[in-house]
Amino acid sequence: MAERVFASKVQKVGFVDIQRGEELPFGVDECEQYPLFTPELIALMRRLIPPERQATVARSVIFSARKP
Amino acid sequence: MREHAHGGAQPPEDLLGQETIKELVREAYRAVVGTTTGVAERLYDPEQLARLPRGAVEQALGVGNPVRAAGLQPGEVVLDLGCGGGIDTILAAHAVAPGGRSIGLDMLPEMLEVAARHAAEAGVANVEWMLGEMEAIPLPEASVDVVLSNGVINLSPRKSRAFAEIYRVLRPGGRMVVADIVVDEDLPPEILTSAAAWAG
Repeated sequence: MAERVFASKVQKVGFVDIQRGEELPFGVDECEQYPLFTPELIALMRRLIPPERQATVARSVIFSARKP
Repeated sequence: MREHAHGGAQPPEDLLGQETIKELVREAYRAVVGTTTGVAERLYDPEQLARLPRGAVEQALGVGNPVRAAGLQPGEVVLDLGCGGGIDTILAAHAVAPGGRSIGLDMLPEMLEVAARHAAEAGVANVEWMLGEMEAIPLPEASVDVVLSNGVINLSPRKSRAFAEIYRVLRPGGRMVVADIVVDEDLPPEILTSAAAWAG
């Protein structure tokens, strides 16, 4: 999910003070530790994603928001 | 919306049914056997890890540290969506004691059993475990102070519904602290059509 989509969905249900906190790079090596990323998918990612992008294919982000 | 490999922007739900996505997630997470501490050691403080049984650390499958970010206070009621092996539920229980409680919600009964065992090993008593889905949280309106989730919202095929449910169960002034994965650039179509991408 793109960050703007995430923020938009949160805002639409009524949350306020939407803030982005800590952020970490999420690469293919990190994906490999999660169950939905099968060995076949990881192999595909290593083959299709340029090496220079493999360490930053995504980001893990902490979002916070408040119910008014 | 995501540009599909065959052209045209379509929501994932139209291409892979919501129930199919849920079943893929259930199967994948049901098969989890925690054998590594790598995820937890990357995300949690040594002080936090020291308060946890090894099993909870090995089964950590979050993507951030929402407990650290939430600024939990004694007396608060916390809901941990998709609690898995219970790592964040247990840490939250420590943070809201005395007087508070931490509720772990998961759609897999076998995960809840494991989480409850980890909580017992950790010696926390102010925890509750609840079977359910984040799109239909089995709690009354305005009943919790803080909702946490860690790498879980992305697994929902109905994310807007999940956010609406979080909003419903929070008390006025309550807060949501969510760690999740975001992607800014398009990935190759072969990857975007994988189950992992549809879930995200």
